[in-house]
Amino acid sequence: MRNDRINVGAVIYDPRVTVIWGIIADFFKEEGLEIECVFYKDYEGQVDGLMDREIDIAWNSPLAWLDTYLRTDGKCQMGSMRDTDRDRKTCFIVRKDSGITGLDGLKGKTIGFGAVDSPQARLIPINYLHKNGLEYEADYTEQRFDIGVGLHGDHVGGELDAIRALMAGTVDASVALDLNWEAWKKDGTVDENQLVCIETTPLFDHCIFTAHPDFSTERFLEWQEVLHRMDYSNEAHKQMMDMEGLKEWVEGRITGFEQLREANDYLKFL
Amino acid sequence: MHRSKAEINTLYESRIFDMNFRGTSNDLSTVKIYTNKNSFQIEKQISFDSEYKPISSVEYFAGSVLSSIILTLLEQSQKSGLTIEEIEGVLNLSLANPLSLVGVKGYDEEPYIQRLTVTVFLYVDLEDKELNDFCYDALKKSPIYNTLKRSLELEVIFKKLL
Repeated sequence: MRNDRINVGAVIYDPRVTVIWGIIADFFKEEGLEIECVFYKDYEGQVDGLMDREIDIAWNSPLAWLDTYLRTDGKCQMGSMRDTDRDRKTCFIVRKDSGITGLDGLKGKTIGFGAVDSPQARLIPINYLHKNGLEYEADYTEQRFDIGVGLHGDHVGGELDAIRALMAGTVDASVALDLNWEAWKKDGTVDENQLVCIETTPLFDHCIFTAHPDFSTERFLEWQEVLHRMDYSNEAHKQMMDMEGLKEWVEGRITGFEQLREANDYLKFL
Repeated sequence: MHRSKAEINTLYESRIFDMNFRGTSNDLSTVKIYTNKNSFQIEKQISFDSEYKPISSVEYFAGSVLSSIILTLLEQSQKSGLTIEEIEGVLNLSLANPLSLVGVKGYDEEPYIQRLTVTVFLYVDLEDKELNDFCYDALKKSPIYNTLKRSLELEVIFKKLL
């Protein structure tokens, strides 16, 4: 076993999530590659930590990836993502009795968004509205639900408050990640007879491991090779993978961040 | 010879009962606590893992509070000749600043138990007011309750089983 541990950063807002990282660290140790988990309160701190080399690899939100990409002039290294991080979309939801059937019906209306820094519940849908002729701060009123700012929409609270506002009638539409919309319909959080999704954004990707430009590429590949050995059919691995919401680690890609980059340019966010 | 009550009560032993406990950590990882005739092992102050089986320090603490409250009710009912036919309690504990405890950078605030809410459900053949009076009087005999009520938000709610 090599003695030089790899420092991996993660943003934590719930102490229970550290359990997942403990299991991941144990898994890496068993595979002969030790990691040290470093926890941050928000993604800005984590990207700072990566830039300062406190950590070698960061488990980044899409916006944290973009922040890292911009701060390193595109030299940061792209790592793996969960299978569930690929091909996500944001849903535009309205009340069925609103008479709104498409995005053009949102002109002049109030739309409930998630946290200010949520890619899926604010930045990407605002960009999509822009591409469909609805300009930010001009063609509709933004009502934001800033829960967990700094977590880039990891906390579902903002999206949940937005859809609750839609059900209560204080907004005319709300946005939510497809996985959340589907989960809420299934668990009864929302009434499918009352609400309808009128439009979805094109597909985009979510979280991704990102390494510092100076971190050894060979070590990064070695680390990812171990990561990909996690096997959902192995009961011990399954527990962690269920907690982290994946069935398989897959190769990362940055093509799925194009809408976020456009949104950032449009809103001049970072 | 007649001594005043105040004079008798100046005796230290009359006012204070001291207890001593020993804790060791031979493996420098877990702690063994010795009680009068027993001992128990604790591995963690608190665990955030729902699958974690051993009893943590915080769980012992919560168990201590809840058991003390239920036991004081049982003891006082026996002393006053009341029969509690059924009793059960639920304790909710709120730990403030848990992320400092797991070492999340950017969180420096001290973790502490901010609030305890204990709900006791009991069946005893008393009218509502009498039941309430009995319960709150019994609570006065719980040293753990009396200590904690001075240092944190501690609420005890009594609900009559029907």
